Amino acid sequence: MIEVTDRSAIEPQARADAASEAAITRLIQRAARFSDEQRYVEWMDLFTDDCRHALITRENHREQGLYNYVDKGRLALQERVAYLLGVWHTPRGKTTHVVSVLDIEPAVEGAGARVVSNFIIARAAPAEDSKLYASGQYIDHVVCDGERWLIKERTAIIDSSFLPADFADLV
Amino acid sequence: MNGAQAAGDVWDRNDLKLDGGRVIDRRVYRSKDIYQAELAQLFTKTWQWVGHESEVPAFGDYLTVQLAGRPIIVARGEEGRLRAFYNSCTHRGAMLATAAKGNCGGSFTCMYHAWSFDTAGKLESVPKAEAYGAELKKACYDSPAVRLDTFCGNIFVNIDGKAPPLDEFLGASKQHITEATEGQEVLGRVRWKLEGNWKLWHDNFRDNYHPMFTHQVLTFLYQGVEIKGENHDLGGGHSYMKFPPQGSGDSYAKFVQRLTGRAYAGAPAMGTPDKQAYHVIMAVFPNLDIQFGGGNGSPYSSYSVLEVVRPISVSEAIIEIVAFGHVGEPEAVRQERLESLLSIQTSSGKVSADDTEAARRCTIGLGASEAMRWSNMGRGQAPGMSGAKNDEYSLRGFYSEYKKYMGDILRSENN
Repeated sequence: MIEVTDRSAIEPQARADAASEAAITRLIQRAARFSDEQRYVEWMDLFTDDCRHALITRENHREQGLYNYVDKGRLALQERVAYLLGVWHTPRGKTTHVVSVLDIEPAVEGAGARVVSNFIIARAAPAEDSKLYASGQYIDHVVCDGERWLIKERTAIIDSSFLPADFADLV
Repeated sequence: MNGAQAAGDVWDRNDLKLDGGRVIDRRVYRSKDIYQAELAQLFTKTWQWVGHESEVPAFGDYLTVQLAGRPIIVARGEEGRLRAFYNSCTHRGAMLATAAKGNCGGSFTCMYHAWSFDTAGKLESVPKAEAYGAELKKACYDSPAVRLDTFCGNIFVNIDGKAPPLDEFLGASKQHITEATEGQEVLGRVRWKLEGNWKLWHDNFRDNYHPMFTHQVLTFLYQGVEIKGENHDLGGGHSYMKFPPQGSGDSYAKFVQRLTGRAYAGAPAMGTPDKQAYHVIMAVFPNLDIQFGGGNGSPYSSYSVLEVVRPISVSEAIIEIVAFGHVGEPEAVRQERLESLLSIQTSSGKVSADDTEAARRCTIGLGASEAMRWSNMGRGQAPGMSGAKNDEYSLRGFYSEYKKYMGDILRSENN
């Protein structure tokens, strides 16, 4: 399996790293795009079966670690997707993610890479102008299954400790 | 009947031809005059939950809160005593602390001219005070104390200082507050915005008619949410609902499969209802709600979350949810609690998000027409203060108490 490693590695390895970094960056950007286009089932397919997807405020991340939610495994993601597709009552406009990958490093534990990205999400309100929906950071652990990179763990850390009223969408 | 009004009350002359205790004048959700009266008559005259002792365990620890537009500090002194005072420098008014919580190191120093106050709000020092001459009487510049008391570790303050003693004010709710919070500590807080009048959120905690329709995730998980349970008006505006979970079947799997177009196998990740479990939703007058329950009998199976709703205008509020865990619980239990306790809560949770939206829609819809002045809160016909889970005894209990605090302003036809 391709590992993302130190850039000072030998030339062929460096090329492999560059290819992996590009693939990983595409994965992170694709997750944002699928969320914005409400292609939630395809978004779900970017995660491993044993994935972990979590949301936490920066204040709580700094302190005891109280999460807004932690979805563990594909079933939990599927339940969230079902909610978004079928029974979330809130009328909402389109979101736009702007995601910037800051760092890709070998994972501390296990195979794959640890990816740190900043995000800003705007949302068009149904009858108003667009508003900032959320800003923060993704801490991802991504792995390659031999053919493609997938998200094994994602923690979305949101900067504000005050959430908007319509915050059930994918961050 | 509980909540009945005196003959001649304008609420008795409602178009719905119901006893005034069974209707709500919709202006209470829309009128700016009534909202201003609520700040003056309700939020300053009642005990307001502001925190838990576990959040301020050491000398110098403090919390800040805004109540009815008034910034307040709650701080622990060197002798261990908690005190509350206004978060405002007595010199020119700047706030003394801006963080939600922290440790002041024993004193609060104003960033503007460095006047310094101790953990009781007493003025300690004034830089270059000699320029004031002998006229500066420091004792006149202490930040006024705000009445504070605690119950079972929960910290309450009363702005006007004239509310009944806290024990008396909490009345029959004390037993349940104890059940919910005794031996527990705060794990953290999350806040979100309610685009609605604050009472709509509080009403929601006294209304268990809505879940089977509003919360479709629970409807499918619990096979219809036709749950038997209790609904009690505890008096004093407090209320209590208790109910067991229902068993789950295959409706949840079908629901998820239908919406996602994918096979869904295995037990719901949201959890299979525990047949031994029970859930309680209680409301403490006027703006505190506590959800708690127990599970399979293990010492740490119980859970508690507390929510306080504070208005910022007639049509907006901040909801703050406070998560609790057992003091000394095993690390694995604590970690699971930190990861799962809020999973259906807050505006990102698959249940509270529904309630948040319901309040928004009501706030807009309640302004539709003067010809639609009254809302019916008359579910439950048996006399007394208790009925079935889906009845509205607890709602009527709240508004009965609310009217006592709000007085004549509600009797005016012109708000």
